[in-house]
Amino acid sequence: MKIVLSMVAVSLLLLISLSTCSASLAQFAGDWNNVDPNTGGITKLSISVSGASANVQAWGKCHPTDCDWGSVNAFAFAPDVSSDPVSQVQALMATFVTSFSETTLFINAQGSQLVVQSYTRFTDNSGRSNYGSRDVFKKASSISAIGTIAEIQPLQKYELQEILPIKRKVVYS
Amino acid sequence: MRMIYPCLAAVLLLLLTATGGLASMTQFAGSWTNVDANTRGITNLDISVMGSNAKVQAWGKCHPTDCDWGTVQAQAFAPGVSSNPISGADTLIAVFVTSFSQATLVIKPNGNQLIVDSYDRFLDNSGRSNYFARYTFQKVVPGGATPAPGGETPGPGEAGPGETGPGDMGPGDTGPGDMGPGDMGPGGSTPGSTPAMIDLTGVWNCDDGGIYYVRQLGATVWWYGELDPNTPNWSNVMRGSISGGMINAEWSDVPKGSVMQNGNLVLQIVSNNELVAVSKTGGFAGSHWTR
Repeated sequence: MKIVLSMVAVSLLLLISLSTCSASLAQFAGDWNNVDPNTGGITKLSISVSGASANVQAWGKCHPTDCDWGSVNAFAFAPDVSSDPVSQVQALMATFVTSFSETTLFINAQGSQLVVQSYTRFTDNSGRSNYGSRDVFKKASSISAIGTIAEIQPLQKYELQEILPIKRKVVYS
Repeated sequence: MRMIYPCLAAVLLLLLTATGGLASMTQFAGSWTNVDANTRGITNLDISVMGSNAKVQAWGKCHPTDCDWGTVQAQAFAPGVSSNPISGADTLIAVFVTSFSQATLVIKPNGNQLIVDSYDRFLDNSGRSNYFARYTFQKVVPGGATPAPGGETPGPGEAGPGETGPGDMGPGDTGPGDMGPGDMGPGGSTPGSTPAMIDLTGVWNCDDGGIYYVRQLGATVWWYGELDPNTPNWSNVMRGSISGGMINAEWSDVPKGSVMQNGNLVLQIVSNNELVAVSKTGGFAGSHWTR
């Protein structure tokens, strides 16, 4: 019986995770990291929101550091034409254009994560196939904010000692 | 134990249907109808494929017949840059543009069905929210009971959720001429063609209190409108072209009345007895015409 219940639970969970539900635009805001650290595609997203507007910045996998695709204005989509475009958002669409390609991201909020469908088409007649991919992103914790932490210099040992002196515990016999 | 197997089967089925397996271009080809006969969005799709090229024609729910959005070239996407663009294609993206909206369809095969995510955004500053909708389509069986869509009225964005009124007709109510898979070629009807079923000639009333005398000749429409036949505060003339279920027009006041303004109008042909203004310039007051 336990197994049956587990199966039903898994099925329900799967259905819930597959369904698209509306969120507020604010739910998309923030810095997001690909849950797959070995992705060869988009590694990070930074989404800023102001009223009914959203901007999406994306980084692609590059060596030695990820490539900044820049920031573009995104379109928000609600469940219908009369929905509130701020509190009821089902998806964002952002298009990044380069001299040789065009990549459109369709971004959906699912729980605490973002599911991003990415479609890249080549405009340079290079013969490469247009391709799509699906990636899941989780919100970056504030301590791992993109870019800035790495610039902080580690403290020297003697500085540590100066800042955090160890108190001697006095034991009276 | 007996209960476990059905549950396992259900979970596996769910996983299989949820997984976008590798498809090919031919998997998209054919005539498709929305599994929801009461949809207020996209009712039918016709997809023709030649090599790595695909063309998509879409119809939206309209009254009395579904709206033909026309045919557009679709982009095919494979899993990787080195994938075969024909045998490896697993997604089509088709973009339909009108003077007031843009609908982007992301089309994926799912078993023997198509899942279509539709992203509609408005370009006319009408204040309507961009909206997203997901539809499931099944293939129309050649010689089956599902007729091909007919009629050509409003384009993408107008036939979506919340846009059409009660009494809309399902796909089974549309015109004659069943089409089998692959019948729809690039030479299909386009938004620019003149729908034979549209006939707007007659006397119309408008919510601005005026009476409009409309004449349609082919894809061209004229009217003379006035508030009062004897001493009108305003009177105007209009000339417009029908395209994709819309009328793109210029209007101007004429000196039977005292108001002297002019501008542009985009009208949606809801039916032969109803017009709705989608965009207006020049201070035009009327928005809804009936007869």
